[in-house]
Amino acid sequence: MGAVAAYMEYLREMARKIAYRGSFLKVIPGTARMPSRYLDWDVSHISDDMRRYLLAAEQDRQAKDGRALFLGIGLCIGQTQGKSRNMKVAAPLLLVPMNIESEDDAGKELVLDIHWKSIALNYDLITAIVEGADTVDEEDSMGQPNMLSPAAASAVNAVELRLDQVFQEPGYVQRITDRRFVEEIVDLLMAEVPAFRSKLFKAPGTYHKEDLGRYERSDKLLWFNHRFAFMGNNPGELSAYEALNELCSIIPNEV
Amino acid sequence: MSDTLRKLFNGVLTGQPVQFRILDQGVQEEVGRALRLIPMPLSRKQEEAIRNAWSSDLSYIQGPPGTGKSHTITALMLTALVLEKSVLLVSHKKAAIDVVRRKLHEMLGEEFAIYVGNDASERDRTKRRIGELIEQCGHGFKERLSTLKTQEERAKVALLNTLTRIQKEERSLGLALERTNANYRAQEDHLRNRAAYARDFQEADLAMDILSVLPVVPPHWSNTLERLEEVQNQRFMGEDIPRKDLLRARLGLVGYRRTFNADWIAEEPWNAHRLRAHYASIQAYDAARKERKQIHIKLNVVRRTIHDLQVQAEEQSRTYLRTLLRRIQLENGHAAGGDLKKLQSLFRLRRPSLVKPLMEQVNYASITRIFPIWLGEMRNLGGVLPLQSGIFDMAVVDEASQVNIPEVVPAFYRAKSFVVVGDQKQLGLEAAGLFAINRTYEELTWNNCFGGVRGAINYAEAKQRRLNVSDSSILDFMVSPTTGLHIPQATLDEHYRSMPSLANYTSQQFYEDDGGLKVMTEVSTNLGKDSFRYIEVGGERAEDGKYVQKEVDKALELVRSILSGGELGNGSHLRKLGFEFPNRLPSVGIISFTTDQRNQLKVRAETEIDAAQRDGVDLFIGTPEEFQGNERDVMILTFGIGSNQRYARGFYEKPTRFNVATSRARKYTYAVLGACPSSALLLRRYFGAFGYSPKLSEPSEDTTEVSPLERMGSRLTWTFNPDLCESEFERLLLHCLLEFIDRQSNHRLKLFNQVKTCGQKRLDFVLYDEDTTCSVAIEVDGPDHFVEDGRTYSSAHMERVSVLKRAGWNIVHVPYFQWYRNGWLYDRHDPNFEHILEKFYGDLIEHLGLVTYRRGRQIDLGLE
Repeated sequence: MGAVAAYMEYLREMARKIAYRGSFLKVIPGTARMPSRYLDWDVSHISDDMRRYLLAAEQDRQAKDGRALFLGIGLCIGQTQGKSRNMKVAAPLLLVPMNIESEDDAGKELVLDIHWKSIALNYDLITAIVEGADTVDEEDSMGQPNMLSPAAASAVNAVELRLDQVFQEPGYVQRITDRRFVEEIVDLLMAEVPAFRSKLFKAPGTYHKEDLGRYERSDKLLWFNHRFAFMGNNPGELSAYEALNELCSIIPNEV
Repeated sequence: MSDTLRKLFNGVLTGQPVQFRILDQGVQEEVGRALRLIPMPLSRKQEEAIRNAWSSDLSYIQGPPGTGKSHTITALMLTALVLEKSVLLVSHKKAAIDVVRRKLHEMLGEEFAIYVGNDASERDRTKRRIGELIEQCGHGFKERLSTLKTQEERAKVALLNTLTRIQKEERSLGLALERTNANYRAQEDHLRNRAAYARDFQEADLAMDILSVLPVVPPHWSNTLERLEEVQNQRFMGEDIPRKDLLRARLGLVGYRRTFNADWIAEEPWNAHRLRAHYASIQAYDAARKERKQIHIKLNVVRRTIHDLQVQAEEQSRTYLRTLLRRIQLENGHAAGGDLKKLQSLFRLRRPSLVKPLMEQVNYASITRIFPIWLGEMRNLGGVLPLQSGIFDMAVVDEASQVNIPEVVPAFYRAKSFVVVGDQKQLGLEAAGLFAINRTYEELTWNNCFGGVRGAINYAEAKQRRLNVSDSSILDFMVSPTTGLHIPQATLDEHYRSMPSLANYTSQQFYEDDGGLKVMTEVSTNLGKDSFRYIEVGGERAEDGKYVQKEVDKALELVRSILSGGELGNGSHLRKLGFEFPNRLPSVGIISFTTDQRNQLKVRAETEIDAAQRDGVDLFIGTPEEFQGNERDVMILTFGIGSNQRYARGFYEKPTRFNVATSRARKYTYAVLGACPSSALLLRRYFGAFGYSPKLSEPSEDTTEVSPLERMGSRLTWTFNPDLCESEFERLLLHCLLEFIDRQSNHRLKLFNQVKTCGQKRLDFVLYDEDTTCSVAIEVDGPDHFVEDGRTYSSAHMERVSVLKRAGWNIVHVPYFQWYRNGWLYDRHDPNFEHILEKFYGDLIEHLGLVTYRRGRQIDLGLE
């Protein structure tokens, strides 16, 4: 492989890292203008409820530019102490973008595409948890925001490598949707990153959406091994990642 | 991979010299012709940027704050249409695209381009538009095309005729201006000669009644005088002079006396020194007279004609471009109906599994011929455009300093040449809200990818060469000196956003090395209006964060005061700037250098100020990073610096951050500071430029002196000093202007001279009406005001006038030669000149919008 192809690969990897940013810290319940349309998610089958949900989500997406549907894997909810104030958090640990498409012009038949290969860590959540504890001082970093400490960064790197590896395995969809997979990831982060260890608490029970208010008021940040769908902001560079992925397969043949 | 992208990557990664395409003279000429056909006034730098874009594979348009990047991009895209090339404009911000889109809409009408977005209604509109085109390509196509072709041809012919007339008029104006300049120089020479002669001999020898009846001076007199001088020398040396020579010399003297009314020769026939000086004066007079006779046109009439023709050409150009676009779409659409239908379907589908196979069936070369102009956010391109190499002739990336490298590569891949637009002197990726990836982590990724690669670059070197994603934008990647690419660059230099003193600070502090900015807001409507206030509030950093409570309090107090009208009272600075309570409130922004202080400000603003009120002033609170790309009428700068802290100079004085922070205000800046450390050199320099010297919070350990900028104060000021008049003509003009002012029945007219404005050397005079803030510049035609840069007088003059006009100046030109004919016509109460003077006064009245002018005979100002 030549330098150009290596560089393209590097760009592709970086595109994936920077695709998700900026608006995934408090994804539920959303706002009146931008409702997140929370839904407990069961990937095993598509129920009528889910069809209705997808229809409403698709209407939302068409009405508001820049919105997209996501599958959230793992849920952190509660409060975490930032550098200067408490931040409310209701965020997935892993994000998978999904696409809804009408099969017909009337828009009655909907098809769901889940972009498993675009799965990514929720960097906003990681930043919020490590902020203050595992970041470099703003003034010392010449104002570059959200600089992760080396410990946090290498843990993130390990998780990313794990995510990459999973696609080498047969039946990767089952692997990702297996509850043990996300549990492994959060365990890794709690083991390697002090801020995760000190701020995140595994909730004893399961998540009930009716209790959202109670969780939010909690002074702790609670972890639920939970899967849910929600509407969020469309990640900008995801298309760059996908395009670069395609380019990476072309370039070695060209160069 | 497109050839250009391959070269770019190879060049940057290998460090080997890369030969980019430079197009030949023919293409340059084509671009020149295209530039003439577009209906937009462009500065020299803007034109240069567009020429670079079309003549090189890669080019860079540097756009300092407020210098018309979008205007330039719009013009570039219009030239694409004329050149029948395709162009794709991308940015990571929809807002940036929308600005260009609006401008293109104004020029080309509603459906001028394909917009690649995610918005459903936009996609529907595009679908409809394509559907309409498909319909137009069907029944009745031939007639429609034929009609369009006729309309296009007519529009083009009409436009070209007007442009030819403009060119002709400009040429004759140019020639006349050259003559005017030559006449001025000859006239000055004549006056100098005359003064020297008068000093040594008799002024009466050169009286105007004598000179004015002189015939044209034939060249043989030089030989005659040489001979006379020889004879005189021989006489002086006591040599024998042949009788024939003596006779001839005497005859020469008689002839000279008769020809030039030089009666003094009778008394002093052999004074060669006087004769030489006399003849030199005669020659200078004759040269000036000859130059004047060469000016066959009325300059101001030609100027007005050119102006009228330019207005006409702009309208004709719009018509031409619209018909051209419609013809291109119809003609090419008919030939590619199938592709159009598939493209239409693409705007209906979103599912990648359906979109991709359909894209493969579309011939994009045909599609870009039908729709040569495309705009879109980078992230949405993949929904309509396949990853195909070189679909477009050109890709333009706006706000390139905030675009990360991976994001733009797919857009570049789709084009043959690239133009990056941005400014490396403003904030880069940090302003794009990029998740900052830890360098350790990025290094791991780098090493993973480059492990085992032949000629691999290590991460440290990659950082240094601006190849790594977390530090470098596409702009850094392309224009960093370490890449060695030598990309053609044009720096836009006309600033239109901020009040003059604010813009001058930006220019002096950050763009001096680039030649500085022409501050186009240096116009009379901004005269004497304050635009900056320094407020020292004292206080210390809080214990629980990087904020200074007193700065936060003061900033919010200012916002409340604006909202309640306190800052907008009669005589207040903001009132003078045109804001009024409660209906014309300014938009307001607060910048905080620290995130903690930004958070404090936000939380308090949300709790203490009603949401409707915040919306009423479009209140935006952010760090400089968040403010890049935004501007407000009034900016409140806060720094989060208290008296009890170390001063992180690297943070506060990072030039790109300081540049962005200080250049966001259109009208007024409040700088609110807790304490000014002695080591805060840039801060002190900043305040010093506006005339403030902050009290230093600590004794200076740093012995570095603050090197001051040229102090400009907080307002635009002009002065009047009659001693600065540079010529007799200027002094005469001054008298006339004083006379004009005297004729007014009030004292609202003010006169200024030697006025520096818009980056120009000086305006001779400016007449300003205090009541209306209208003004008019009075420019003497003839003398050079220009820097020696190799341009002719006429081209420099015309460029200067177009710069001033773009800034909105009214100009009255006073042709020197009309005022001087064998002496100042004004002095002689010449009846013809009275008409010229009345016309001059009439022009002043028109531009100033005066109604109280009293006509009458001129006052004798006793100029003798």
